[in-house]
This record gives sequence, structure tokens and C-alpha cells, in this order.
Amino acid sequence: MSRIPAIFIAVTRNWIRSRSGLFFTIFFPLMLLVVFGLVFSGGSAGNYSIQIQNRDLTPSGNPSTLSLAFIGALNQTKALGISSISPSIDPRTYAQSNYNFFGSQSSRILVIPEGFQASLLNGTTKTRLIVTSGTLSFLVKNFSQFIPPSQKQGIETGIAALNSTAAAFPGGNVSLLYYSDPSDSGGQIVKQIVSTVANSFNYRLVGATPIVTFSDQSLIVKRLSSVDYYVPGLIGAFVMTNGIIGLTSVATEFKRRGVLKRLSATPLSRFEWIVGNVLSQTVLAVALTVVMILAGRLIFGVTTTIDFYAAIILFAGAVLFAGIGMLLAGLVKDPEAANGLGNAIAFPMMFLSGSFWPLDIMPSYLQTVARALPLFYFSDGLRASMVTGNTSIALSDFAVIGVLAVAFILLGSLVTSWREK
Amino acid sequence: MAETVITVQNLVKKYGEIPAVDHVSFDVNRGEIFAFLGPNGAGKTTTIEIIECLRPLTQGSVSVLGHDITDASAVPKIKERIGVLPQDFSALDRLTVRENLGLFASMYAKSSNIDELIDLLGLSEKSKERFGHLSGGLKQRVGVAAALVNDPDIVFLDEPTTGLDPDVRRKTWSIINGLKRSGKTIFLTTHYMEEAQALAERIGIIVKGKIAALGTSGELMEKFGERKVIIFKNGGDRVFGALKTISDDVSMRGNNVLLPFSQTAEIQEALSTLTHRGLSPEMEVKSPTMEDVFLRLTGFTITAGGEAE
Repeated sequence: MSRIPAIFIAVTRNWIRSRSGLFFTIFFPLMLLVVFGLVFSGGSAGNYSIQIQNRDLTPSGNPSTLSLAFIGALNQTKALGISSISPSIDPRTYAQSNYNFFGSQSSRILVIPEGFQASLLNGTTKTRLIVTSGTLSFLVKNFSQFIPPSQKQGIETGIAALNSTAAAFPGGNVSLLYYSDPSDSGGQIVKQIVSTVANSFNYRLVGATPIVTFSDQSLIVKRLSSVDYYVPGLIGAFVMTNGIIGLTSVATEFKRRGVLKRLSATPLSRFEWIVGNVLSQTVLAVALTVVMILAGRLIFGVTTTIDFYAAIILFAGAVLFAGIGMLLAGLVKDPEAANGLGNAIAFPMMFLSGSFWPLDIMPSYLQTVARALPLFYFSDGLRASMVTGNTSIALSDFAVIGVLAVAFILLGSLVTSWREK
Repeated sequence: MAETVITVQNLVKKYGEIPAVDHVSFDVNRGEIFAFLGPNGAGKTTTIEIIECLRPLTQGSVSVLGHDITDASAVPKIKERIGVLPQDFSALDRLTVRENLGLFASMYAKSSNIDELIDLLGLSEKSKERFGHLSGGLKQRVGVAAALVNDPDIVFLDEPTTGLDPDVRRKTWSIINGLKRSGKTIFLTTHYMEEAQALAERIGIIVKGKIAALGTSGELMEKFGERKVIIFKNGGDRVFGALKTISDDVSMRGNNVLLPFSQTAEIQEALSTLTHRGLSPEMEVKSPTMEDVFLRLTGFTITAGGEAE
């Protein structure tokens, strides 16, 4: 059985010595973590008062879920003293009368318009798609020497798919109306807070799950940051792309150039070949995980860890996506076509499966789609085990990934030809 | 009686209804160089890959080193004892020459000393170079080394010199001759007539999936080659006329006069006839080549690219 370690070492070496392999396995996910972490994170300030008029009502006259969540997010900054005013009143009239009544106090009024929830559902997804495709385009443009032309074409297909997906969402501009007195020095600060919260609102939704830790003297309530969300999401997404894009193109290339045929002329069995490759993918997945956790801790101070559940989910996920990669490589003969197909499957899956933002903020039909994608269970399971510590979710996700992993690795083995026709 | 290491009987390989290999039978003896000579698409690679256990056969029987290749449990035993150089050999691009050979070596229970192999093939200076950075000739040499890592009993070389320049081709020939001297059986395929003639003890000429002729190169020449020919350069009509008196086979090509012969006595007769008439043209003797054999057998010859013409 010394053949499996030999194959494992050879294919892993061959992979990490490839610039594009290393780029997509480690560097690109790391860049995305940093970019996402910087773009979608909020700030905090002192305590200011603000009045909110919520006009985004359901047909039954209650405030919409997301408008309430947004107000909750503003409240969570602990920087604002929030009070509400009736949806039917005109803000200027209200401010005028309020000013007259209290004399010295300035009014700051935020109006949440009708249709807030609807536009947000579409707009947030669109924003993420655009930011991601922008990051990807930037990297491809500036690091093109790392990427072989055949892969570049695949990636460009992926970017185009992202952009067209983004364009399919209706314009997601939500105009919050903000009224303040120009002479009020606090007015601009409140405006900053509101816009920061608005920018990072989706992530505040995630952040609304607190982890409570106890120390000897005091109760510390630690809010999770958006980066806590990205770390497992990006690990999941890139273990997936390594299998579906990376392994697929490597395996088709081995086949086209006859490396596979030459190896099959030795006593090496198909089983040993596949196990060696799958082991290689799991080790790459572990390497990616270590890098992402270290970066998350050092740059953003996140507390994400790896426990037993995360380890088994990571292993099952690496096997699953390696199996899909082997399956695609077995079905498609041409390396370029296989690469294109890999990109066409991997990119939509990456963005629809809740790896980068919570499913709750996506339209409900897309949430249904997400639950049909294996990456959803992988990212969800990693998040449950690494961040929120919800072991029952982690285990049920593991069960789904485990079954799929067995199924796809069997299918992948079946279509890997060890004999010519 | 020589020991046979490969026995092929009535081998048939069909793709759909089209036979790529059509009732082919031959033996390969231990320690010999056996060549399959034929144009592209004749069925050379299909046959060799069936023997290497890389393709299933449709009909017939093949045994390698005493094992039936259709017996699944025998396949790993066969693969353990054969070495294979496929057409267009390729290895892992980002592994060095040595790492690639190490990878192939670890596939076998028994393996040769890799340092010695690297020396044998003159790859010492390139051993730390990545495979992907090598020239075509060097890649091919790594391929030959990879075919030897398990110290095999039989070495299969599928078109080992196709695409190599003449200089590298001759080097490869001397390596192949060296392998024979070390006691290995060699089965090679080629579409170069001179390669088959230079290397092989026995040649099977394969055309359209069938063996057209089989034998040592001497036997094939004798059986299918033209007789030797003496050429009188610029002999002209006078030489032709003189020789016509002693042979009906004499012919003219341009201003040259061609006289086929079997025995030296015929040359002496021709020379005395010419001397008698005061003629002393320049002469050249031409031996038959594999090309003549091939042309005679098949009615066509093979281009440098391996196509039938």
C-alpha cells in the first residue's frame, strides 16, 4: 500500500508548485477574507438621540421584519438613543412642532421608506455579487501571471456569470430619508452611524447572535463580527472550488496528456489513485483552514476555532468536492471544457449557498435553491461547528455531506477510466 | 528452442463492427527485439496496448510471461514485470525528473536503482529539473527510464523515436540495443523502415489490422525484396545494348542502366561483355531495403509522418 502515499505526495507537490494552484488554494481566499472584512464592517460612536419613522409596513399594518431588524441593528450600536414616531405624520411638521415644544433640542429623524424590505432583499445579494466579481476581476487582472490562459478563460466565464446574475436582480437602491438641523453638530455623526449600519446591515443580522462568556468578575457579551461569518464561509467555498475547478482541470489534464494511462500501466489500481488524490484534497483543505483562521485571528481578531465536528465536516466536504471533481473529469474529456463546466457549477454555488451572506436576506426562491446545493450544508456545518458551536446543526449537516461524499466518490471512481475502450 | 514470453493467437479487436486488429498471431521470444512495422492506423498501438493490459480484447488469446491477460488476477502480476513507454510519454510537469522516476518506482514491489538509471540515460545533469521544462528528446528519455524503473522482463516501446531528430533517434537506438544486451526482451512499434531494420531481429509488418509478413529482416528481404541491382551510371544505349545480349532483365532509368543479379558470376559476365566492347562505365551496387520489401508487400510506402502513401 506504499502506492497511496507516493501518489498523495506526488499530486500534492505538483499542485502546490503550480502558481495558479497556490493562488486559488490559499492566496485568493485570503484576499477575499481581507477585502470582505474591510468593506463590510461597521464602526461605533457616542450616544446620540434619533427618531425613526418606519413607513415600511406589511399589508396588515405591522412594520416589516427587515425594517425592524434594521432598527435593531441601529440599536445594537449602543451609540443611538432611538425613539419612534408615527408613520402617518410629516417629518418636517413633526420637527417643527417638536422644536417649538422643547426649544433647545434638535431633531434628527430617519425615515425608513416603503419597500425597504423588498429592495434590500434584492440589493444585498446584488451588492455581494458585484463586490465579489470586482475583487475577482481585480485579482485576475493584477496577478494574471499566476493563472494559465485556459483557466483564465474559465474564470472570466465565471465573472461574466456573476455579473449577469447581479444584473438580474432589480436595482437595490434603498433611499433612507434623513432629516437633521444643519446647526446640529451631532447630526452628521448620527448620519455616519446610520450609513455605516446600513452598509453592514446584513452582517449585523448575523451578528445578532451573541456568544456569552463568563469570567471571574464580569459578564462579557461578545458580538460576532462579519469576519466570523466569512472565515467558515470562505473555507467552505474554496474547498469546493479546489475540488470542482482545480481537481477537475488537473485530472482532465493528466488524462489528456496520457499521464493517467502511463500510471495505469503500472500495478497502481484505480482505487489507490483516487484515494491518493482525495487525501491530497483534504490536506489542501486543512492548509486553507489553518491560513484562514490565522488570518482571521491576527487581522480581525475573530475567535473561530476548529473542533472535532469542524474537522469531520471539513474532511467529508473535501472528499465530497473531490468526488464531484473526479466525476466531472471522468465525464468531460476536453480540459478546457471541463474547466468551463467546473467554473459554471462552482461560481453560482459559491454565491447562492449562504457561504458569504446569510440565506435569510435572500429572496425565498433562492433560499430554496440554496438548500439543494451541497455547499450550503458544508458552509452551514462549518459555521455551526467553528463559530456558533451548535453541534446538532453541525451533526445534521455532517450527515448530509457524508452521504453525498460517499455517493460522489463512488460515482467519481466509476467514471475514472482505468482502461481504454 | 527459444522461450516465448508473449504469445498472441487470433487476436481480434473491434470498435463497433470495424476491426482495428484482425486475427493477428505471433510470438515474441525472450531476449529478442521484436518490431511491429506499419503505417499510422494499422493497429500497432491497439495491439501493444492490449498486450500491456490497457485495453480489453474482443476475441482471441494473449499470454504474457505465462499469464492469460483476460485473467483479472494476473493483470497486476503482468504489470509488475513489464515496462511501458507509451506514445507521447508524459509525466507530472512540476515534479523533477528524479521525483517522477521515484513516483513510478514506488508503484512496483521491486525497483531498480534510480541513480543508475539516470546515469544510464544520460540524465544526470537534468535530474533536478522539472519534467515540464525538458525538451521533447529529454522527455522521451525520461519515458524510457520510467519504463525501466521496475527492472522489467519485457520493455514495450510504442514509437520510441517518433518526432525525434535523427541525432537523438540514433542515441535512442543505441540505448535500445544496450537494453537487449542486458537481457531484456523488447517489443517496439515503429513506422520507420530503417528503425525496424536497424534494431529488430524479427519484424512483423502490420497493415490494416493484419500481419502481412513476419520474419527476421534477412528472411523478409530474401522473400519479398528485389534482387540486388548493379547500376551503370550514364551507360546509355551502348551499355544497354551490350547487356541486353546477356540478360532480359536489364532496364534503363534515365541514362542509367540497371541490371538485377543474384550471383557474382553474373557481374563477371557483364563486365567482360562490356570490356570486350571497350566500355567501362562507372558502377554502383544497390542492396534491397525494407522499403522495397514493404512496397512489394503492400503496394505503398510510409511517409516520414507515418502515413501510407
